[in-house]
Amino acid sequence: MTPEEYFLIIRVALAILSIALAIFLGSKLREVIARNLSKFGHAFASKFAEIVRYFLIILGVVIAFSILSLDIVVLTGISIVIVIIILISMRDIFSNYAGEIYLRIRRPFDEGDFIKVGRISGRVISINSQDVELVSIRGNRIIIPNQFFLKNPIINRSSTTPTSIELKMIFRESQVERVEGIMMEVLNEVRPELFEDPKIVSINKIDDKTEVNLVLHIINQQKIKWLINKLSGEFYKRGVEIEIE
Amino acid sequence: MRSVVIGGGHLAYFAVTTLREIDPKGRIIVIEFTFEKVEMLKKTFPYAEAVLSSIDKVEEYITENRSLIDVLVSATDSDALNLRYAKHSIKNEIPIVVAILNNPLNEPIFVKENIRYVINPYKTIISKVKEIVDKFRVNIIYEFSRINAGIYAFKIENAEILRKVRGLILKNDLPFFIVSSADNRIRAGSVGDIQIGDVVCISCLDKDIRSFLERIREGGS
Repeated sequence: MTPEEYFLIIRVALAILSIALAIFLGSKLREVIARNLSKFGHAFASKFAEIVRYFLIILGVVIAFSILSLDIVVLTGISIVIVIIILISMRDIFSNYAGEIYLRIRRPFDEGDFIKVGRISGRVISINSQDVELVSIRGNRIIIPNQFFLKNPIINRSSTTPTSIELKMIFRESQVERVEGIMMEVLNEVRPELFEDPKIVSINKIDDKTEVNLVLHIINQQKIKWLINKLSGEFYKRGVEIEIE
Repeated sequence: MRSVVIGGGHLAYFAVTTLREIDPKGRIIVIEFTFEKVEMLKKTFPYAEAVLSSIDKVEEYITENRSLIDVLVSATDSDALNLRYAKHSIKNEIPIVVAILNNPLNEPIFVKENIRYVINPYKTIISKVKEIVDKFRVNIIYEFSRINAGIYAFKIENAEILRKVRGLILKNDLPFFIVSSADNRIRAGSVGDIQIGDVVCISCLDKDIRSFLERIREGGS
């Protein structure tokens, strides 16, 4: 074996060792980072840990190639492969950016509109580079990654369109006529806040209870919570106990 | 529905009466800045609640009632205040925010500030004068607020305009009706019924008609 061949074998061994070490360290560090950053959210911690792991592997690969002393063409090829790997590993982020571009150019909705995307619905609070922030009818804050809008149909109900809400009320009262009477009284109280007259869809007697299905039309979706509290309060004032679903 | 009208002048008068007509069982709150006007509003609109407020307290009122207000109409005598309240209401997610202009030249400022519903009460002057004098090529009869569309009237002065208007209707399959010059009657029909001297009213999306309007206006409207 010539000294050149001998040194080549040593260089290849060292290159393989540096890559293996980088992979090993990357995996270990990923676990440590994911564990310690989990307080900031599991998705964020694992994403950050993954980026660090890839960075270490790339570093190992770069060291390995510098040990092998490859020429510029080979290094360029390797760089392209590395860039592709980075792109693949960060595809969600790029996909979210693509989603943002779609939202900004196509403008399927604006801030303030009431939308439904997939099974999620709510009012759009802000459109950001990575996500869209919604507030649901029940007041929950929902963050939707922008890529979600590329894959799901969007229904823009617009914030100005009156929304119909269906309420089911269960009265601990078996006399349907009495329930109906009280219901009309209470609905008259809340009518000035509604868009149209409320509709009683059905009144059914179930055992010793009465179930009432009701449709209310409102414009301001933020009003739902207030409306439910108001209805409960008005029934309570009249000595009637109810459950609202 | 709960409507809040800011201002107690003549612009607010029309806003309040219309809101009452839309929803007679709804709640209307009128906010004014002077005691005397509030007293007058109570008498003029017995069905509405007149609230006395200082200019700087209105925003506070909007914020406090943001989850209950359905419609807010900013109709004070100052466009600067109207803009200020409209912007604050949008920020507070009031679903329908309407600003009524005092000076039509301020309209672009409101549009630039993303106030979606701006009412320019002076706009009808142009279309009315054109219609009354009966001399125009294009008359914008109505512009819809919720959609980018309108109703446009074209006076068929010559064969060239007749050809262009027929082409526009056929190309976009637009609904239209004809105001006949012969008997001053309104009639529906096919493009073949349109004659020189008639007025053709077309309902159309802005995007479909924008470039056509530019072309037909050449030579004066």
